[in-house]
Amino acid sequence: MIPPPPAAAPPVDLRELRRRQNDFSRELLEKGWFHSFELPDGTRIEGVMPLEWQRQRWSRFPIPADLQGKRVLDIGAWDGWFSFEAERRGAAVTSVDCVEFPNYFQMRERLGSRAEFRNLDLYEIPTAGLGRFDIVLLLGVLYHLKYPFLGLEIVCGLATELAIVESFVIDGPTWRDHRGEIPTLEFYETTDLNGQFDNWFGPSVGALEGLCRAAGFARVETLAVDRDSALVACYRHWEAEPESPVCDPPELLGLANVNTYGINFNSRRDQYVACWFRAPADLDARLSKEQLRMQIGRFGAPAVHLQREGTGAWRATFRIPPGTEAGWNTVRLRFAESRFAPPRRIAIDLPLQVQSLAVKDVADGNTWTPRRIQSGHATCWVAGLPENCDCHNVRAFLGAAPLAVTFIGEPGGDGFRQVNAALNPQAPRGDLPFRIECGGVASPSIPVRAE
Amino acid sequence: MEARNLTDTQDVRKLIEDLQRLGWYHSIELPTGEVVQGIQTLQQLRHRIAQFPIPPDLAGKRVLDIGAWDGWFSFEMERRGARVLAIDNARRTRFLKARELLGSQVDYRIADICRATARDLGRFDIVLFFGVLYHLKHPMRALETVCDLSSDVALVESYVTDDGSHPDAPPVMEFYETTELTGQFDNWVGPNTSCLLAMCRTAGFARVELRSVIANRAHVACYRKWPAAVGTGPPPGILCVENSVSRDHEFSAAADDYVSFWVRSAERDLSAANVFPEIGGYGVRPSEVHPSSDEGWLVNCKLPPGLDPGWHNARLRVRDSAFSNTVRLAVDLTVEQRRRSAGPPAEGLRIRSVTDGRTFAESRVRAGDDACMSMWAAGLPGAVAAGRVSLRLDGTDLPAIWVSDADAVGLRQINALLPPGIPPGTVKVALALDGAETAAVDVDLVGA
Repeated sequence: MIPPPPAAAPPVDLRELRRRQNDFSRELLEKGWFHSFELPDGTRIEGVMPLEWQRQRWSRFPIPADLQGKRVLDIGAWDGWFSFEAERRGAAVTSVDCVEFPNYFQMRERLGSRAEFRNLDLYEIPTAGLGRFDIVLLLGVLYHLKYPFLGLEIVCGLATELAIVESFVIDGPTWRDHRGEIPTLEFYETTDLNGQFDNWFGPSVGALEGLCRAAGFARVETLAVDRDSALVACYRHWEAEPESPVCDPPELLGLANVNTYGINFNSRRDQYVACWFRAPADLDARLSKEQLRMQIGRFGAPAVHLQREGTGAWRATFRIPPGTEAGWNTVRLRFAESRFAPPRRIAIDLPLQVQSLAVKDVADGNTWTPRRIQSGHATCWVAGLPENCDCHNVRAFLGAAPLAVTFIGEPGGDGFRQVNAALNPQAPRGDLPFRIECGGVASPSIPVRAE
Repeated sequence: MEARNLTDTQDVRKLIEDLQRLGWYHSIELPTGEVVQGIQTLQQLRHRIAQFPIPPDLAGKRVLDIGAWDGWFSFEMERRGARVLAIDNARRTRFLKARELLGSQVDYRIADICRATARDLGRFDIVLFFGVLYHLKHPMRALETVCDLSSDVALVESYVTDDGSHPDAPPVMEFYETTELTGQFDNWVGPNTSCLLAMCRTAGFARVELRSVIANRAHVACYRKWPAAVGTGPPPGILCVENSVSRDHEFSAAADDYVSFWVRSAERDLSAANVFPEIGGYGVRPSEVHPSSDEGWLVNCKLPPGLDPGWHNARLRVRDSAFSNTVRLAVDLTVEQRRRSAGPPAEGLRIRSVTDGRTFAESRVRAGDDACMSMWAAGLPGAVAAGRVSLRLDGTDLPAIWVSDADAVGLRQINALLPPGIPPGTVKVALALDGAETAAVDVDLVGA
């Protein structure tokens, strides 16, 4: 049995209510345990959280009963019930807490557990060498964080499949009534929540969902909302491609880093990729960002923005998912009800390696007149460009003036790529040396007449 | 600031045209008196800066402008005589062009304020943090960094969700998942005025002052120091200082450490509003003030951001009182470093013995709850106040809570409290008077 929620609180100052809401410090002092346990010999330990409650919470997790072969990370393990339960089901478990609770170690010994314990702050985990985990549990931790969004981004980067996030919420009884409103978080400067000093932010259910989505998970699903807590499943992948798609895949037109318009990305920064595509006619009229299924490398990414361009095509923006590996990653886009479009590639943290560059056949981009640029657009063929060259890292110069590189083609049979570039209307004209630069290497100059 | 000698008017003309074409946010007044008109007029920009208490003469001051954008505030601070560093999260061509045209010496760097450190950027008398906070995913972290980077004052201008008429309302922050705020993707949070003030206080500033709220823009001055005026009322006495969580003497600027002061004061109704702690020269607002016993108070505060590794003095005052005794504590020093403590030698002081404060067992002191230590020493001046005396345990001060009169052989008894989290083991204990200290003796701290 779950303890029934107390009768509705009388109308008091919100802060008074929050302060007293869930202050279990006295009960914890009396019982000595936060989690409850039942040992194999039938011995029961009654903690602040009833065993039935723990089991019910576990039963809400969307995970198989058998966790053989899975790595589970339990952040904020406290006395360890959820760690030991995951291990009992076959998982290899790592428990993390910022405090070493003697209860945890006592119970680990009594249960003969092999769970690994690490005394770490959540923010220290990415550099602690723990690796990645199929499942990450973040139960009752989020509202203790001064940087809740950073915490969720870290959790997302640690999880390869699923994170289960449970948090105090400020609007448990009423959250359905104000869906669609801008979500909020309360801030607790001192002991304003539960009389405890280490509570910082209380999200609404909507804020919890939004924070999880914005942290980089593909899908976020609210599993349960109780009076003052919510349980959210955060998936790193989309549901499977439909077996019988009801519409055609998107027609992918282009793909670019929104900062550089290139195909290279820096994983240490918060970077976004823009994707231009067309949708089949029946979907085009009713397309929303919720229908887009982007996969970058091994992870799904939700669309953060969708807008129609002047050309009638769509432009959607996606965040590079946390934990995307360095190197070439495939980018695949589909609709909820379609298969994937043919993949494209982006480069993450890939160094630019250039030995030498050669340029041939510089000509006007419109008239193709050799060695003369009449229309303000130049075209040429360049050899030696690396695989991850893009419009941002390839630079063209006429004299000292940079040109804007607008297009780089695939290499032809001779290894030369077509490069198009536009002259600044104010740039000097006349007989000038033309050259291409990439990765700190410059091509020999070719004399060109700009008119 | 000297304008560059601009002789080639044709070039300048072209540059100005470029500037106009680039689409400016800030307006920039050129040395010639011409104005590159931005979306914000010079009048609006001057009105924004006028919300803050910035002196007209900033000679000798270092200023950091976070999120400088086109640079008007940076150039204005430089015009007033400051040495200015402008940072932004991406290179803005307009800033660089304006700097060139103004002949400005403002230093310009690309940095992410959520990841910047004082080690990379240095510390600044004045930090401008205008129109940036609501663009950040981790506002508390950014404010802690802003506090760390400022040695005197940080001036925060942010979007707020209200008109500022209820600065004591429950603190609430809106979260913008995508383009909910002004249709722009790079807005993340919208605090109400109360929440903005609470977050600034939490970041570690001594005083946070709401200057104004105009059209959903709050202007907040955040001070690292208490006002210089010191009262003359009876000073409080610090009885013990410890880490609020581990309850020992370990303090780190990298951790989010809190400091507990156990204080004696006859004042009544003390609260976070009338207790003024100071650590390493920085004021810091108490997060909590509790009565602990008759005339006893527990004062908790954040270890102020920006303390370099080393020894730092801590003291506090209440209402219009004089300062308490001063207690030395270590930040980011190892036990070995603390034992090589380098106070000036105390002439004429001599330790006779150190005992447990309750059992008087010699050189063996019980650690843990209610632990205390007694020392017998010779050479203290006749009418010495307890506040001038401390026992230094591995370099950190245990303030004397009582100093006896001299006994028949001239020895004085000095009693001090031990934080309950100090781990058992052999420690070095010295006697300090006004900061000068004796050679240390070994004392065994034993478990309860």
